[in-house]
Amino acid sequence: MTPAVLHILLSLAAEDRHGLGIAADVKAFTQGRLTFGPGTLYGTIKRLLDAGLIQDLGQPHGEQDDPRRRYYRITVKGRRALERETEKLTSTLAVARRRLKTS
Amino acid sequence: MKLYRVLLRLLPRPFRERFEAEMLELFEQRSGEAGTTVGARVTFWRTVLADLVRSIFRERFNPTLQDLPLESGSRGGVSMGAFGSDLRQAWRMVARAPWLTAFAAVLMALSIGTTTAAFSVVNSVLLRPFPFARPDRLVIVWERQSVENQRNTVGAHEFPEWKRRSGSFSQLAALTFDREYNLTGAGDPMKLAAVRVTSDFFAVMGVPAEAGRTFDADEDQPGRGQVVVISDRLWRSRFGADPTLVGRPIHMNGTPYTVVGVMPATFEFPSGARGAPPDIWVPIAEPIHLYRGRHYLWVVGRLKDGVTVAQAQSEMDAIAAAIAREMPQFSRGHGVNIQPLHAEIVQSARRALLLVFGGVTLVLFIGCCNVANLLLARAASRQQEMALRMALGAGRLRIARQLLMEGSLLGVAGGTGGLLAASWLTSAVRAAAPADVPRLHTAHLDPTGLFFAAGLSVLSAVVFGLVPFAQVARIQIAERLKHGSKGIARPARQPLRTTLVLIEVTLTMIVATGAALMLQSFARLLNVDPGFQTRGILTLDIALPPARFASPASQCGFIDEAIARVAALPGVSGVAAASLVPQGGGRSGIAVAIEGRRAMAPGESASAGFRVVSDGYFATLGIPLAAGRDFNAGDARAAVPLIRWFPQQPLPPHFTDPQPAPVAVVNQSMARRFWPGENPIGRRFTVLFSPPITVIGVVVDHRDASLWDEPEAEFYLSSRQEPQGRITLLARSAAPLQTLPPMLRAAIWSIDRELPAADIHALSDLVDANVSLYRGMVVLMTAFGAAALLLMALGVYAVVSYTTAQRTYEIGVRLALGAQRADIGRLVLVNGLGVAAAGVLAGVGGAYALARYAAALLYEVRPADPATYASLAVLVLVVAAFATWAPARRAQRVDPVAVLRNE
Repeated sequence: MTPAVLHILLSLAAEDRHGLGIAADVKAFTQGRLTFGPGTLYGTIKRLLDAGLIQDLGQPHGEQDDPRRRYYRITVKGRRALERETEKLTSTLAVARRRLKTS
Repeated sequence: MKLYRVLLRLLPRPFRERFEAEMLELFEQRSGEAGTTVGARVTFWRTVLADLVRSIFRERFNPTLQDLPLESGSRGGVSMGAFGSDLRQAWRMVARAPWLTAFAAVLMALSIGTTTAAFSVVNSVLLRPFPFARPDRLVIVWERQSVENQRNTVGAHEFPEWKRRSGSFSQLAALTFDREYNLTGAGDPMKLAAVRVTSDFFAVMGVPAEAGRTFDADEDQPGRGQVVVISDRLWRSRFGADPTLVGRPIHMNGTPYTVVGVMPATFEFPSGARGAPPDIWVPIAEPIHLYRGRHYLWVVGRLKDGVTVAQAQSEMDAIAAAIAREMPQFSRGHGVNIQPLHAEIVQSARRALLLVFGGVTLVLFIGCCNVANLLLARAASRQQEMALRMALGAGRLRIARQLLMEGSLLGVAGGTGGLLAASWLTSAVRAAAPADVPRLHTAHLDPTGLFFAAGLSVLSAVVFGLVPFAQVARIQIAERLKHGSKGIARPARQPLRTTLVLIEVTLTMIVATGAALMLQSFARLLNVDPGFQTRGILTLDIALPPARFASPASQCGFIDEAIARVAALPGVSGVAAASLVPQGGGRSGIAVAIEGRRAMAPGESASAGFRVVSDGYFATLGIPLAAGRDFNAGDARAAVPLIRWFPQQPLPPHFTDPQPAPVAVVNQSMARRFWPGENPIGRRFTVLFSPPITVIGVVVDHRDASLWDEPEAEFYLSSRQEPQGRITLLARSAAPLQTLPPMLRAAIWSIDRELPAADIHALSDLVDANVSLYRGMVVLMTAFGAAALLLMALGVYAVVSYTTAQRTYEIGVRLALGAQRADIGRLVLVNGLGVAAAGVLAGVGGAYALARYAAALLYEVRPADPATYASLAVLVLVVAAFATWAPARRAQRVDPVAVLRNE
C-alpha cells in the first residue's frame, strides 16, 4: 500500500470528505510531513474508485459547498484493506521497536 | 495558473473532465501557501511539475496499473524495474558532470523556448484557421481594373449583378468603410471603427452573435437600418458588458440605433485602417444598384460545396464580360479577381514571419550542434567506462538504452525550461505587437505549441542519446582496455565533431548574413528623407457626423473655424487640414483624364493618388512649392463638391454661377508623367465625372505612402472646393507636444461638444508605426545573428580545445624535436580556421538562397551584395580565430619534458 493510498483511506475512515478536504486533513494529521500534489491526489482517488476501496457520493448537499466538489466515502472493502494494512504495520512496528532497542 | 491549466491538457480527457476543476483549486491553494520569494516559487513549481509529470505518465500509459497491492509489497513489473534502474543510472551519470549538464540543459531550453515561441506566433498568425465556419470556403472578390490594379474596390453596378447571376457562391455579401460613426451620449464622444455590411454578411462568415442576433434579411433595405451589431470589445469597454444592452438604443452621430447583437470576442473581421478591428457593424441600407459606377464595395463570398476557386473565377470572368458589354460606360475592360480569404488576410505578414521562423530554427540547429558536441566530448571521455561495461557483459542494446535515458533527462529538462521560456516570450511578443500585423495580438502558447515543444524535446532526446552511441558502437573492447586510462590510441580524427562545427559555421554564416542585409536595409530606410517635416506636428482625426454637417458648406465652415481656433492656441505655429495624413496609411487612387490627350484604352485608364488639403498644408509640413502657387481663400467655390463619383449624380447647386475655377496642385511625379517636358501650370484634367480642373501649382515630390515607396503621381484639391466630412487636423508647435492635446480637444469642443477628439497622434509616431514591423524583424534577426555567432564561437572553441588536448603528446614530441612554439600555435590556428573557412564557403551559398527569398523585404540592398558577404565572411573567420586563440596559446605552453616524462 503506497503512502498516498494509506493516508487517503485513513482520512476517509474518519468521515466523508471531498478531495481538498482529504488534502487538508492529511496535511494536518501528519503535521505537514505529507502534502499531496494535485496529480497524485486525484490520480490515487481515481485508482481507489476503480479498485472499489472508496465510493463517489456525487455532488454535495450542504449549501455553502462549492458545486465542483464531490464527496468520497470509504467502502467496506476499503475499511477491511485498511485494517489489514494496520495489522501489518503494527507487527512491523513491533519488530522495529524490538530490534532498535536491542542494537 | 494559466500555464498549469494548459499543462493539464496533457492528461487524458476523461480524467481531466472529471478532476480538472478540483485540481486547479488545489493548485491555487498550494500556490497561495508557497510564498512569493523566487526560491519558494522555484521549489513550488518543481514540486508541482514533478507531481504532474508523474501523474501524466501514469494516466497516459498505465491507467490500469494496480499499484494497490493489498497483500504484500512486490512492486512494479520487471520492465518497470529495468526502466527505473536505467533512470537511476542515467541520473547518476548526469549528476556526475553537473556543469556540463546544466549548460547543455540551458542551451536546449533557450533553443526550444525561442523556437516554440516563434512557432506559436507563426501558428497564430498564419496557420490557425480563422474563427469562421469552414474558413476554407471563404473568398474575397475584387474588381480587376487593369494589370497594375488587380484589387480594386467593387462597383455598385457590379455587385448586384454578380449576386444575381453567379451560381458558384452560396452567399455573397458586400461591405464598405465609407462612413464615420461617432458614439455619443454617455461619456466623451468616441470615434468608432465602423463597417457597413449587407444583411447576409454574417451568414457568409458563418458566425452567429454571442448575444442577441445578427441582421435580418430586410434590415439592409433603404429606410431600415437603424440597427447595429457591436463587438465584444466595445460591449465590455464602453458598456461594462451590460447583459441588458441588446434591444436598447445607443446614440451614434446623435441618432439612435438599436443594438441587436454582440459578436464574440474572436470575431474581428474585417479590420479597417491601420489594422483596427471593427467596433460596430451597421447595415448598408441604401439602394446600391442606383450608385452605378461608384467603386466603394468590398465583396466576400462563400463558395458552394465542391466549387473550386478556379471554377468560380471562370464563371465570374464570363459574368464580368457580359456586364462590360451591357454597361460599357462603367465596366469597359473590368474583370474579376477571386482570392481565398485566408491568404488575402495574412499575405502581408507571411514572408516576414517565415523569415523570422527560419532564422530561429537555424539558431536552434546551431544550439543543438553545440549540445551534441558537448555530449560527444563526454562520450569520448567515457569510452573507457563503456568498454568496461561491455566487457562485463552489458549488451550494446542496454548501453544504447542507458544513453537514450540520459538524452531523455536532458530532453525533459530542456523541454520544461523551453516551455517556460516560450510562454514568457510569447506574451512579450503579444505585448509588443504592432497593430498592422493581423492576429499577432492573439498569439499564445496553445496545445499545438505544446505539442511542437514536446516533439522537439523528444527528437533532441533521441538524437542526443544516439549520437554518442554511434561512437560507442565502434568501440573495440580489447583495444580500449589495453591502452588504459591515458587513451593514447585515441581515434586520430573526430570526423563527426568536425562536421558538426562545419555545420555550425555554415548556419551562422547564413543567419548573420541575413541579419546584416536586413540591418543595412533598415539603416538606409531610416536615412530616407520623407520630403516633409514630421517633428513637432500633432494630428487629430475628426469625423463630422453627417446629420449635423450634411451640406458641403457646413463642412467648409467647420474646417475654417477649426483651423482658426487651433491657430490661436499658444505655441502653435502652423495649422492645416487634410483628408489623408502623409504615411498615415490609406491611399486613394482615382481615375484621371488629361485634357487634350486621347482617351486611354479600356483597362489601362490613368490613375493618380489624391488628397484634399486646406490652405497652408504645404507650408505646415514644410513641403516646398516648385512652381505656381498654393491654395488660398480666393479659391472658395459655391458649387461643391467637384468630383461626381458616377454620371447620374446630380450637379451641385450654383454650378453655373460665375465663381473661381476648379484648381489643383500636383506633385513633380504627376507633372512628369502627364506633361513631360511641358509647363503643367494652366493645364487641365478631369477626375471621374468632375468639371475640368486647372493646375495652379507644383510641389516637390515627397514620400506620401511610406518611406520605401517612391513618390507616385499625386494631386491635391482644395478643401474649399472638395470639402470632406472626414479630415485630419495637423498642428505644428514649438512647445512640447504633451501640452497640446488638451488644448486641441478644448478648441474642437468649443465648436461642437459632440465631436470625438481622442485620436491625437504625433505625426512622427504615425510615420514610425509604418516601420515598426520591419524594425521588430530587424531586431529579431540581429539578435539571432549575434546568438548564432556566440554559439558558433563556443562550438569552435570546444572542438579545437578538445582536439588540441588530445594532441598534447604529439605536440610535446614535436617541441622536443625542435619545433618552434610559433609553429605550434599556427598549427592549431590553421586547424581551427580550416574548418571555419570551409563553413563560410558553404554558408555563402545558403545565405544567398535566403537573401533571394527575402529580397522583397530588402530596401535598396541587393540580395547578392558582395560587400556584405565579404565582411560577414571576415567577421565569422575573426570570431572563429578568437575562439581558436586560447587553445593555441595553451598548445604553445605545453612543456615537452613533462609530457614525455608522463609516458
